Amino acid sequence: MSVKKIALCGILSALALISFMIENLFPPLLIPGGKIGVANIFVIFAALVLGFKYGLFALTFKSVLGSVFIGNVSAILYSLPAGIISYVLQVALIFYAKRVSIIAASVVGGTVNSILQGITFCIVTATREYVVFIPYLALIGILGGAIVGTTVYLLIKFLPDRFLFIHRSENNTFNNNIKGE
Amino acid sequence: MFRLIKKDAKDFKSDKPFLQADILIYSLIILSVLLSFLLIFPSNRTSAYGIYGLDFYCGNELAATYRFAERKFSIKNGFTDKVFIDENKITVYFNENQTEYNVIEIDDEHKKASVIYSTCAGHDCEQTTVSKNGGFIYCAPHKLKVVICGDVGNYSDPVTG
Repeated sequence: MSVKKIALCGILSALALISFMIENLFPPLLIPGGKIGVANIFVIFAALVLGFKYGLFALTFKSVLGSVFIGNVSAILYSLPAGIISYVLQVALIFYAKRVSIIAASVVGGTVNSILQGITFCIVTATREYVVFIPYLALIGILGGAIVGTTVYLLIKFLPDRFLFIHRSENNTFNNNIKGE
Repeated sequence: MFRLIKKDAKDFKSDKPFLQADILIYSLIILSVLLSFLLIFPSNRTSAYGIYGLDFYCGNELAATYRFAERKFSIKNGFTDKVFIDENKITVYFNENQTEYNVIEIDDEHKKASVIYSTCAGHDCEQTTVSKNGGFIYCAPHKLKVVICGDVGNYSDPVTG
């Protein structure tokens, strides 16, 4: 665990929290609970560049503190479990599925997250009527996942190698050697 | 298509935005969403048919009811200190010193209800209106739920039972 990685994880976690709180200032998209999930850009970026546990930390940090700061602590009940499950699925697809792109994995994560949040909300609040919104939430999840995935893809593509902890060796080949590891 | 070989940062840098397996994934997602619409739509009541009243829930417990026919509120036992009625408005309190509350206004003519004021942090529930059979308003910080009650009708309801 290098100092650079920890510092970058802290920065990305803070950015995820800030973007979560800013997004919460806007009204929901079309239906109650409809959000794009801009904060997940930093969570997935942390997972791709730093590793699984760093992305998981950023996700937990954003969900817990974000819910506390916006004054709706009960939101942790339905946002954190859904977030963790969709994050694990997304990261598994990105790291281990050879022919699945970051954007497609993000769309899967966004859709699963939206559906799970809706189902958990129905169970926790005993509001069966909310079930009719779940397909619409899935559509918003697809849109959100596409935006997040595209943004992360562009960041990975165009950021300099040193920001992604990629070091070129003397014969100019890629060497994913992180100093201090 | 799904070989278990761990990728790392240098692989992501050289990846394309659209890969082979994406077609399968997008198809599965679109099919799942279409299927969920087909399952949900038959139970999605969109008319004001058979609406007879409103139920007000405080933390999953029924606190009060309103019936359009009698134009009358009914407060349940144990909630007389938590609910205040003023003509066509009902105020539901969530703490003992009555600083946290929601005010719901009822429109008898159009059989609808809306939250006109809330002390919760998000104010997401304010200005939301319910007018359809089975519709509801939910205030998460206060755990308030306002549900429109109506006749189910003769069709079966696979989702809400």
